[in-house]
Amino acid sequence: MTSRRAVLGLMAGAAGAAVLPAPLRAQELQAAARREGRVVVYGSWPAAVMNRLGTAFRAKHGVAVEFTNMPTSQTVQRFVAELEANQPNVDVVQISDLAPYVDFARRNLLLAHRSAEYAAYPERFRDSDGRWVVLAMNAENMIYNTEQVPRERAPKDWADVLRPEFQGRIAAPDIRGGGTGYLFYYAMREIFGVDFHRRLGALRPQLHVGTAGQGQAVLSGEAAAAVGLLHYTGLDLLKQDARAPIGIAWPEPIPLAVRAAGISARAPRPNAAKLFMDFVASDEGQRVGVVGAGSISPRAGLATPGVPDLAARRTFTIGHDQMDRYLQQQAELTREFTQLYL
Amino acid sequence: MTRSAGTQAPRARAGAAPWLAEGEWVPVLVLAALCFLILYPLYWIVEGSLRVSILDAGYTLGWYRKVFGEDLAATLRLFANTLLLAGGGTAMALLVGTGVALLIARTDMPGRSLYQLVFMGPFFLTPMISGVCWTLLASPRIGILNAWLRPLLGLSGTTGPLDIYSMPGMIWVLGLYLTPYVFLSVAAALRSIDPTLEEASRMSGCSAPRTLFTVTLPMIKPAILGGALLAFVLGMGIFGIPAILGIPARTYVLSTAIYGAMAGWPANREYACVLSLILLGASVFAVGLQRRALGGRSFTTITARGSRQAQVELGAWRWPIGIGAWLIAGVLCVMPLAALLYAAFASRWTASFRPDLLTGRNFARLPEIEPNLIPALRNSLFLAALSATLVVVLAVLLGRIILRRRDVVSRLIEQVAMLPVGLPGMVFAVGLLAAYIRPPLILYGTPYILLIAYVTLFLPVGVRASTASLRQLDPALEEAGRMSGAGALRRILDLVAPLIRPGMLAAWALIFVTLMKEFSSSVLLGSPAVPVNATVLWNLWTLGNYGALAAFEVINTALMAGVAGLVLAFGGRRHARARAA
Repeated sequence: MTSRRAVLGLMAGAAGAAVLPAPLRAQELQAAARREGRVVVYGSWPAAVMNRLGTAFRAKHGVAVEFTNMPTSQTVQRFVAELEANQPNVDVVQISDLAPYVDFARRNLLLAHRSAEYAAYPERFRDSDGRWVVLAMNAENMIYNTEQVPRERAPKDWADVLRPEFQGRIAAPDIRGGGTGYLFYYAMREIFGVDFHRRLGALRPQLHVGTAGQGQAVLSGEAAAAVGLLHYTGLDLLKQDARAPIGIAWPEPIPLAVRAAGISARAPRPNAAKLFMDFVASDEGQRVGVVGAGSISPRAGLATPGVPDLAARRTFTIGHDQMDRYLQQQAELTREFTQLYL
Repeated sequence: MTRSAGTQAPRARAGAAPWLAEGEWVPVLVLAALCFLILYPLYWIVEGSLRVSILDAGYTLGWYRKVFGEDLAATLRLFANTLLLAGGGTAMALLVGTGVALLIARTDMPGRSLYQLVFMGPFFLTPMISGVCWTLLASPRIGILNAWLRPLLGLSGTTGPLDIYSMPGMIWVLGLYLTPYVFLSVAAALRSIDPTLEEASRMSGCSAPRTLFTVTLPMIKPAILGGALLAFVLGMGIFGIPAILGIPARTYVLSTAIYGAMAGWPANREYACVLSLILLGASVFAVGLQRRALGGRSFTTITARGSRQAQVELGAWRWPIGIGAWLIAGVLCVMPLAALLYAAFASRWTASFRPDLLTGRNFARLPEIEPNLIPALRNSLFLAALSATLVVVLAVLLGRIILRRRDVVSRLIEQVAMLPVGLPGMVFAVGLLAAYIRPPLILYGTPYILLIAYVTLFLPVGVRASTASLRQLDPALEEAGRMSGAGALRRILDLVAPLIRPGMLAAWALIFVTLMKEFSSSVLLGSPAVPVNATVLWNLWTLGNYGALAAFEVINTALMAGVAGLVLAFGGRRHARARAA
């Protein structure tokens, strides 16, 4: 029963804590953050990205960033466990999925932060109270092995991978492997109907958890093409070896997976956390930590090398207003996936 | 006196097999400590299985109804696949591990010392990387072995004949991964036992094979069963191999289903906890089966008299057997390691060997990609060595209670000590986190939580090894020491420890190597102040940089092989000298 009390107690306590008295001015915020000394961040963002961000943040504000890199599910486990046990340690939580933030915000587990920087983000990518904000996006695209797929047969549209020549030679995401796989399944179903999955499932694709495995399957030639993988996978393979037999296609609509962040309602260092969020959301932070790492910034005017201008393309995103429907369908669509693909 | 294998042992008499301290309170205290160490985190897993959701207060039996009601058919399918995978892998590990141990410990086959190290090779790889290496060798379309076999067998087409993405493929890779658990346990037992009985058998006219099946193997039955039990239970919970090889082929086991349940949102941690309890039940059942199989029989084969190693001279068969054995080792162990080396030195992975792609860039760029490389290796080395040492010491103490006192308390100690082994690391880590983030013992955020997690997770490996080794020890040895006036600690250090050293060093090496690769607990419980190998692995994996990942695996493997090899070699020489004296 301890945990029950803890959860209920937390919500009651957090409701009060989540309302800011009045925004501090930039200099006051910096001074308060310096007094707190550091900011603790848990997240699934690559450590190399966070190291760059941490170095730039410390150089600018004199506050250290202590980052623990772990998968999304572990980040959530740790965040919730700390709150339940009344041992808060984390200040900022960053994960590669929007859905948990919507839940966290409803339960007052996140601090409202009305950052001026957030105003530069589209409304569908931020909470109205500033409890969370989408700080980076990754497009789901398609790659193919240029040694196995003749140039004239290279897939360009989503429907191209349904051709019989790809029987058993497509690497597809397993819907049960996390947010990326589910987004792809949901997006294709919304755009093309269940028939898309019926036909793709009939081709007996190789299933993968994690986008890296799909990339390696195509690079090695075990799969001729991969669908629904994050766009940086193909770009990174070419960055590692420019001669790699990898072709990249950007079929439309392009599903966009998001990386969001928010401040814990019980953050032990709330001022350092706010200063850090402001920095990451700023033009400078986005250049260092998002565009520089190959991801896509939701801020206008920041182009990522190798990524087409998404403003000129049709995209598919799940806004927070659509999140309930998106999540409610998950169990049913997972059942459907197992019928069509397994 | 030596009692022959398989005879009924008299029940332990008071004072006949003295405990460290004779007081009755010692085992009860030990049981209480074990309960805290193991049952307390398990309580949080059971609690998790009853929660409405990770964010909702309140309890429900709904997850049990889902697993054993509406999803029963799927649960049974998962369980059957898990049993098939773990059972198949264990059978292969038993066959290969026992065979290799016999070749090394009982024959004059050429190159035996190196052979032992080669067979440890696949074990040094993380299961996930092991799976990835085998995809390079035996994936249906681009596998190097398939590219060789197709023309050799006159097969047309572009796929097969081997398919690593299948249940037989998974069993193959898992079997190789589990082989050291059986091999080290059996080899240690073979080195420890008194060869008089085998010699007597041969002098009575029994052939070498008959001596093997009627004398040698029955004598080392505890070691074989102990190794097999560990292999089976570990095989049930293993994630990396079925994730890489099973999911592409749509073959799911309990561990991959548990991962799936925890990965998405809403995270079905509760569903994962219920599935994990199935694995827990299976491991309890397996321990019970092993206890039943060994029964009350005595396997005492190390006596107060000195002995030397028995060896079968292969004669004219020495070289043919040696060449055959090395060929098998080449396919089983050298090829996946060669695939790893190629991946580490190639600018990208290819189906065929491409000298033009060879480069040292993956190694050169590692410190830049992963600034925590050196601290992580150093911390893992320290934590793994310390944890393995603590486990071995604790396991010897626990093993003595379990074997020398055959009462309810000792049975409970044995059963409780084995509980964590069957649970997938990612779920047990959730229990450990919940246990040590709140009073009475808050270790969260300190390096001690990793130490206690490692000790808890690997206590079963130590206890299996210590009970297998101690089972072979004649209580008369200690009795003699006691009559000579030696205290309990002196008897353990001077009499028991030297005789069980091979088995316990083997266990130390197993635990050390496994901890150097441990992922789930390290990632969930670690802190940035103490980076460990798991942090590096996860970072490289998320970057999708398999070349850098392979380079890191090569460095880590060399480190593990160096330390484990040194310890085993040092222990082996000391033991040989002790036996000779």
